[in-house]
Parts: sequence; structure tokens; C-alpha cells
Amino acid sequence: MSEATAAVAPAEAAPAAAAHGPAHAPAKDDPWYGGRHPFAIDSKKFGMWLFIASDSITFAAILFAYTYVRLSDPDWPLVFNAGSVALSTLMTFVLLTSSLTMVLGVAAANAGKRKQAALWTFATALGGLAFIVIHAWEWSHVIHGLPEGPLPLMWCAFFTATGMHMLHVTVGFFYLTIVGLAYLGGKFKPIDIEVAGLYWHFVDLVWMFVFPMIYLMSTDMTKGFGH
Amino acid sequence: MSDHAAEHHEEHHEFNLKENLAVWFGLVALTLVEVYLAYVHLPPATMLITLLGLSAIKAAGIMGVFMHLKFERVSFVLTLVPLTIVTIALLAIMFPDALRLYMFHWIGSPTP
Repeated sequence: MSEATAAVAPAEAAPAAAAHGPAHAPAKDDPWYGGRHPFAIDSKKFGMWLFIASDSITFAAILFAYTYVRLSDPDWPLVFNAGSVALSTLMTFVLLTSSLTMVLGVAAANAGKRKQAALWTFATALGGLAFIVIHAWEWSHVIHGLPEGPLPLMWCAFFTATGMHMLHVTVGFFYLTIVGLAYLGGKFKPIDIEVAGLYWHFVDLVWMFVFPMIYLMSTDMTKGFGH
Repeated sequence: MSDHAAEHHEEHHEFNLKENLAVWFGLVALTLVEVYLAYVHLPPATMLITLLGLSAIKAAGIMGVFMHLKFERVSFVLTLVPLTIVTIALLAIMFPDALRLYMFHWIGSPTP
């Protein structure tokens, strides 16, 4: 801003800006129009999307670090077998199906079907619980089979990536249960179900990367289904 | 615009069950393709690139349809998505070093 422009009193500058504004600014129906609500999105949804963007970078850092050590070692142990892959595929199926029930919950909430929306939300939380139980069983199985001494790098990567994800699933289970109950009780609105759904789909999305990179990249199918 | 008006301004769309089911079936099918790839003995780098490509397609399906991103304003999508993807993609700067270490291991030279 030049000194001459800055010297103009605000009362005089405002009409001038208004006069020049429409010529340079996007029209109101333009998708890039600013105004008070430039993204035309609920603040809760916007906040959750910002969280998802930042959290995806956290997961990316973990998975890239894993990929670095995986690619750099030609003697990387292929610790998983067909049985491990079958179990993790089942976990993937459970998460994908829970995402579908979440979609149905959000649709029911937007349609004003409160009870139906809460039931689908609880079904989603139940899917999360099933995932946690299967994953915890797998962890206990792995921990009991670990060799004595320092933890091998492969298992450090496994516990870090899957542990971080399981933490998110656990938080999601409680989050969905609380939101579902509060929505059923009339304390929450459909947007709260939708925001919780965004979080849950993100948890599902992250697993779409954890599953192939952690499990499938360290699998020797010729080992069969044994331990 | 008041908050109430803003709420109504947010673009709503009709729920499409068929579309969501199609995405779900697609995600399950791609998962099975990934599992099949585990049976095929591919070099680690090739396997990684293939799996990441399939995962990216699955992520697009989840974000676009399940998370309704395809129904949001283009300004919102273009503000949020490219910056996240670029930030994540920049982490790939580590990979050449990983392959350098791999070559050191492979030819039996001591790692620096």
C-alpha cells in the first residue's frame, strides 16, 4: 500500500474499495468467493478435517520411517504367513464394513431418523470393538512368540504402526458410543454424527495403508497357516 | 450471513445407497487383489509401489464418497487436499537413501 493510499481516511477508503471490489473479487456464485463462509462448511466438520489432515501426516511419518528401514534391508525378515494375512484381511473386512454402517448412520441422521442413526452408530462402534479384540489377540500371540533379548526392528515397526492405529480405533469406539448415546438422548445434532463418521472413515483409511505396508510387505505365503 | 443461514447454505446431496455399496465392494475387491499380490513374489520396491497405488485408489474412494469430499466445495477440497498430499509426498525424499543402503548390503560393502 502506498503512502498516498494509506493516508486516505478509512471513511473515504471504504467506498472506494467497495467501488473497485466487484471488478477484482470473484462473484458470489464463484466457488472461490470468500465472504464470511468461504467453504460453506460447518465449523465442526472443518475442525475435524483439519485434525484429519494433521493426523494423516503423523501416520505418514510413521509409515515412511517403516518403509525406509524395510527397503534398506535386503535381509528383512518375512515374519508373517498365510494365517497372519487371513487374520489381518478379516480385520480389514471388519473395518470396511464398519465404515459402511457409519455411512448408513450418517444418512439416517440427516434424514431425521434418530433411533436408526444411533443404532447404525452403535453397530459401527461394535465393529471397532471387534477389530480391537482381534488385534489384541494377535498382539498377545506375537508377544508370546518373541525371541529373548532386544526387540527386532521389524517388530518395533509393527508395534509402533499398529499400536498407533489401534489407539485411534479405541478412541473411535468410545467417541462413537458417546456420540450415539447423546444423539439418541437428543443432546447432539446430525452434524455430530457426521463429524464422528469423518473420524471413523479416517481410521479406516489409515488401515488401508497399514495393512499392505506392514503385513503384506513382510509376508512369506509359502509358510502356510502354521505359527 | 447468520450461522443458521450458513447451515442451510451448506450443500446437501441425496444419499445414494448404490454408490456407497459400490465403493464398499470396490474396496473389498482391491483388498483381495492386494492379498493375491502377496502370493506373487515381486521385488520389494515393485511390491511397495503397486500396493501404494492400490491403497491410494482405496483412499480416494473412502475420502470422495464415504467422507463426502466430492460433495464439498471445490475451494475447500483444493485448499485442504493438495497441501496434505504434497507434505506427505515430500517425505519420500528419504527413499533414495534407503535404496543406497540396500545396495551397500547387497554388494556386501560395509555401510558407512
